[in-house]
Amino acid sequence: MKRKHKNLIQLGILAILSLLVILSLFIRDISWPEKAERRVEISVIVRESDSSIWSEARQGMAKAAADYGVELRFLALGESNSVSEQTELIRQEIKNGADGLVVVPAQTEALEVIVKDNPKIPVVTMESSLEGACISVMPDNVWVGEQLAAAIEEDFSEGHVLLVDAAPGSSGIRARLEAAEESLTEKGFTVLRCGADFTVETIEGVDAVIFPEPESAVHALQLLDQNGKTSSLYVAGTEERILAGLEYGVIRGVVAWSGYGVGYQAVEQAASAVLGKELSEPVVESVLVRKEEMYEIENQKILFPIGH
Amino acid sequence: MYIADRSGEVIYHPDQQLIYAGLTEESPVADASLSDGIHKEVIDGIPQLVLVKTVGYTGWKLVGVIPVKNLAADIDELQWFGVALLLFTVFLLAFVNTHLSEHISRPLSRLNLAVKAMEAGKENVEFQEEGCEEVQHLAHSIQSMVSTLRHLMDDIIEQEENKRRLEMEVLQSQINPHFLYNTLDSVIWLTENGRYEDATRMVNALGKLFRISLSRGKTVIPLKDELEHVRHYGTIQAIRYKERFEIRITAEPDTEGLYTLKLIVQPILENAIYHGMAAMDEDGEITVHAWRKGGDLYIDVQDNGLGIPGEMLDHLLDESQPLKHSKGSGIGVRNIHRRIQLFFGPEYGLEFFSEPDEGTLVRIHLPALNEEQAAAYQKEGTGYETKA
Repeated sequence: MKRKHKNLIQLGILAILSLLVILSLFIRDISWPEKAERRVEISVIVRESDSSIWSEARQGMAKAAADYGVELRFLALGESNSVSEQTELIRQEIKNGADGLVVVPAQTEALEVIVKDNPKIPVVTMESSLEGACISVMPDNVWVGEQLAAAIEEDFSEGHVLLVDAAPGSSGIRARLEAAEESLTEKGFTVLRCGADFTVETIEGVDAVIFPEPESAVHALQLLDQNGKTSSLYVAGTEERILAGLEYGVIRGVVAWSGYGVGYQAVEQAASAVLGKELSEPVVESVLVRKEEMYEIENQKILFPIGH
Repeated sequence: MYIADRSGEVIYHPDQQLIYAGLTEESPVADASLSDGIHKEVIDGIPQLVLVKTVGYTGWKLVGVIPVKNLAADIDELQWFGVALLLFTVFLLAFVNTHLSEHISRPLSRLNLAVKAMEAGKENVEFQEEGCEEVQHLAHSIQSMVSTLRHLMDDIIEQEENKRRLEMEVLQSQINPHFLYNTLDSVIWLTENGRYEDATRMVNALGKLFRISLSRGKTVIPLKDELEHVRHYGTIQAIRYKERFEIRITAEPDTEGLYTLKLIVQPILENAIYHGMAAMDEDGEITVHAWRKGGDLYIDVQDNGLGIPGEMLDHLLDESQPLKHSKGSGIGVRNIHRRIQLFFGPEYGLEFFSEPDEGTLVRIHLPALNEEQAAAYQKEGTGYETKA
């Protein structure tokens, strides 16, 4: 009897020890509900139909998503600058459970309504500022416009300058154009305006053309190339085809900033907003680059991002 | 981990674009100026380890930057692994210990129970030879020892019984009615013939003979008493046989104070008289001589009688041969021989030397016991086996 009792105690001790061993091996892998990291879902919605314009920014977004544990969904429109489509897309994403939004507004006013309707969804904007948004990650649009104007003023003493406003609803684009127009007008240039429906003749018929965003500039380059024409283009923002234009001299000045940095910061800020963290002031420095300066080391760092 | 050229320009960095965008800070220029090795730097107020290795002739530097706090980042995992390992080790030890101790202790416990049962007097206790080799050997040894003990006990009991029986035979021989009747008849005859002195001597000798025979129940008596006993016996027989033989009893001086087993010489003398002297007319001679050699005592009983035939001499002490009826008290030499060997061991006993028509020498071989040794034998009352 005594021996049986002793054996039972020994078996009990062995069982407890084995349980402790198993627990100690797997305790680190147990997903405690309160400790489980929340996967943040962020949707990025641009205003263009050609998402390649944002390829550099997407790399930065992907990096931020990896750094902050964000599940990212990148969405482009079927038709560039379609306010209704973008509005519908944003609502759909909110309905699908997106924790935060990164938006390049096609029309600022329309987006402001959505933001007011969904105050719990943090919204970060790129290119344009927005009332009700957490923060906007963009270059100083006024400064960008002034730099474009300054470049023209440097190249020409007088003449006609065409301002292409392909996204009339975008407050960021508007700010750039207005700043450029003000400067040019002040200097005695004749300023003309057109929308996204410009032709090669329209471009060719002026001394200089300002494109406040790269998509319309790419379109202009295609028109000029197809018609064997040339012109003096000044562009805000970079893209492979823009840089090629700069290299060939069709584009005479580019105001560039790090699209990678903008994309990274946009997702970083959105994730921080979703997680209730304190937001930091974004840093987007832009620079005017001419053809002869494009291979300077500091300019290369901005113009030719290294993809990973 | 990143690569920088000699001027500190980043060639490769995991966050290269972030650095270019001014979103993160690295100090490649400062790091590039560091020599190969491990350096402790404080970058942005954070202590960091900087590992620098220059790559071949390009002069590029492979730089690894590790925040010091990251070095201990996995310590938690390591600690858990250590705890798991420790617990597993304890579990393994406990498991092995439980089974090992069970494997060792179970046969020992059974052995212990068997020994306890044996102590309690249970017979035919079985010692199971199981467990490890040592325990099996132990069980086998105990089994063997118990068996040996039983045999020894049986032997001792048997020897004691033999001794008692043999002593009883000798004592009975002393009060042999035939001897007593003949002696008393001789006394009557001497008295009737006016040989009062001889009658007195015979009666006196008979009395002393019985006194020494009893010796207060002692088994080991002084040699001089044994020889005195023989002398009295010889006196009686000499008178009875009308002085046809002469008995001389002598002892070497160095035998003084020695002790001997009681009543071992008289039966030899009796045989010498009945077998050696019976056919003699007048010149019979029997000598009893005690002498010592080293630690041994010898008592020779020699006669000049007819001697013993060779074939009989060979079988005198052979237990396998049947006893022939003999005249006298009936106490055979085998009785004496066995008693001596039971008490003192097989190296002692009787020896016979005989030549036809020349006589017989019977040599009694004993240990030379002093008073203290004799007392020990007397006290124990057992033979050599128990002294071993």
